Amino acid sequence: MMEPLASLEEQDVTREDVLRASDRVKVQRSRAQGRWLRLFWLLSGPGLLVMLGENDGPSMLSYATTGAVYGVGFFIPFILLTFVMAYLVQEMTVRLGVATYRGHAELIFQRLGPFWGYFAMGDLVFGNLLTLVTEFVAIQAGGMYFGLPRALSVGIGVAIVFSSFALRRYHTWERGMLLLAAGNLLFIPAALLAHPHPGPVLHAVASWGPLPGGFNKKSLVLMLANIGATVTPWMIFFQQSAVVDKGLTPADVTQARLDTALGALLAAIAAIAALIAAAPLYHAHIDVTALSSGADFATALKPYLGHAGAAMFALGMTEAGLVAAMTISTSSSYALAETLSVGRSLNLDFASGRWFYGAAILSTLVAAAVVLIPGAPLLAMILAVNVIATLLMAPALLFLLLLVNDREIMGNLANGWAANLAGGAIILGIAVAGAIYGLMTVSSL
Amino acid sequence: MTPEFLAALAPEQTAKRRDEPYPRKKLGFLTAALLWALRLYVFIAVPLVIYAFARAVMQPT
Repeated sequence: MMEPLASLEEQDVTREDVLRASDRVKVQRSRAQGRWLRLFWLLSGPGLLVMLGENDGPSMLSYATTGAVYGVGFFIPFILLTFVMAYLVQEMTVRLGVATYRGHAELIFQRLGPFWGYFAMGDLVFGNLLTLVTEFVAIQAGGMYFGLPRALSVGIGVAIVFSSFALRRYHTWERGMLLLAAGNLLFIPAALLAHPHPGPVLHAVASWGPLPGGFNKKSLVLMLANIGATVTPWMIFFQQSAVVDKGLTPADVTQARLDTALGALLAAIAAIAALIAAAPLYHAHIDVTALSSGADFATALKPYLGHAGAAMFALGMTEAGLVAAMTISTSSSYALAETLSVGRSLNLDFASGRWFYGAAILSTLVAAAVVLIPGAPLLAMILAVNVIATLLMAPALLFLLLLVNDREIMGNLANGWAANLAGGAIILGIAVAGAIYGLMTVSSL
Repeated sequence: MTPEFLAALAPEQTAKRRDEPYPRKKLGFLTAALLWALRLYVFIAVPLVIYAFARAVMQPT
C-alpha cells in the first residue's frame, strides 16, 4: 500500500516519483507476465505523439497543396522517405532519453555549456511561439468552415489545451493526447471519398513519378516544405523529454523504437491521404494559389469529396492544429524548465511546476491573442515560421549528433558508425535543404 | 524507509538524482571546430531570422 504523499516528501520522494513509479510497476508486471501487447501499449506514446503532432496545421496544408499542384506521383514516395528520415532522427532522441534520464535542453546546457544551452532554449521557445500562432490559425480556419466565429474556435482551442494541463498526470495527458491525435487519420476516409485508383498510387511508389513539369523552383520549394513539415526542432526536444517524463529505461528501447516507427508510419499514411484527398483539384485544373487555409481547401474540395469528405478534411485540419498546439507548448515548457533547472514534468502539481505550466499557459495565451488581433499579418507570419524553423534546424541537429556520440553519458547506446553515417547524411541533407528553403523564402519576401 | 513500489524506478530516475547536473564535456578538436562553425552559422542565420520576422510583422494585410 502507498504511503501518504506528505510522509514521502519528508524522504525527498516527490509526487513526480510516486506517479512515475506506479507506471513502472505496471510495466514491470506486464514484462514479467510476458504480455507483450500490453507492454507495448504501456510503453508507447512519445513516438506516436511526436509524429502525429508534427502533422500539424501548416504541414497538412503543405501536403494538400502538393496534391493539388502535382496530383498523385513523385511526392508520395518522397513523403515516405521524409518520414524514414524523421524516424532515424527521432530514434536518436529515444536513446538519449533512456540512457541519461535527461531532457534535450538540459543535456545541451550541462554538456556543451550555458551559451549553447540558452541559445537552444531561446530559439526553440521563440520558434515554438510563432508555430503556435500558425496552429491557432489552423484551429480558427477549421472552425470557420463549420460556421464558428473566430473567437469561439480559438477559445475552445485554448480551453482544451488548458484542460490537458489541469490533469497533472503524464500518463493521463498522454492517453488523452493519443485519442485526440487519432483524429489525424480523418484524412484517410477523406482520401477514399476522392475515389483514387490504386494503380497510379502503386505506380508512384514504384517509379517515383510522374512529376508534372519536372524539377523546377516550384517543385523544389514544395520538396523543401515537405521536409520542413516532417523534421523540426521541437520534435527532438519533445520526444526526449517525454521519454524521460514517461519513465522509460534502457530495457524499453525496443518498444520505444516500435512506438516511433508506428508513429512515423501512421503520420506518413495521414500525410499521403491529405495529398490524395486534394488531388482532384489537380485533375480539375483548379488554381490553388488563392487557397491559404484548411477551410479554403475544404470548401474547394466539397464538389469532389462531398459534404462528408470536406467536413472530415476541415475537422482533420482543426485536429492537426489542436494536437500540435498541445505538443509544441509542452515542448517549450520542458525546454524552459530544463534550462532553468526547475520542476519539469507533467506529473507535477501547479505549485512545484509553476515555471513548467506557466510557460505553456503563457505561450498558448499569447499565440491565441495574436490570432485574434484584427488585421494581424497571419499569412506572412506562417511564411516567417517556415524560414525560422528551417534556419534553426541545423543547430538542433548538430547538438543531437554531438550528444548521441557522447560516450561518457550514452555508454553502449551511443551511435555506432552506421548510425553516424545515416544520421550524418540526413542531418547534412536536412540542414542544406533547410538553409536553401530559408534563403529562397527570404528572397521572395 | 523508502516504500517498496518506488524500487520500480531506477535510482537515476528519481527527481532528486535528475537534478544533479552532468559535468561539462571536455571538447575534442572536432567538436570544438564544429561548434565554432555553428557560431559562424548562427552569426549569419540570426539576422536572417530577425529580418524574416520583422518583415512578416510589418507586412500590410
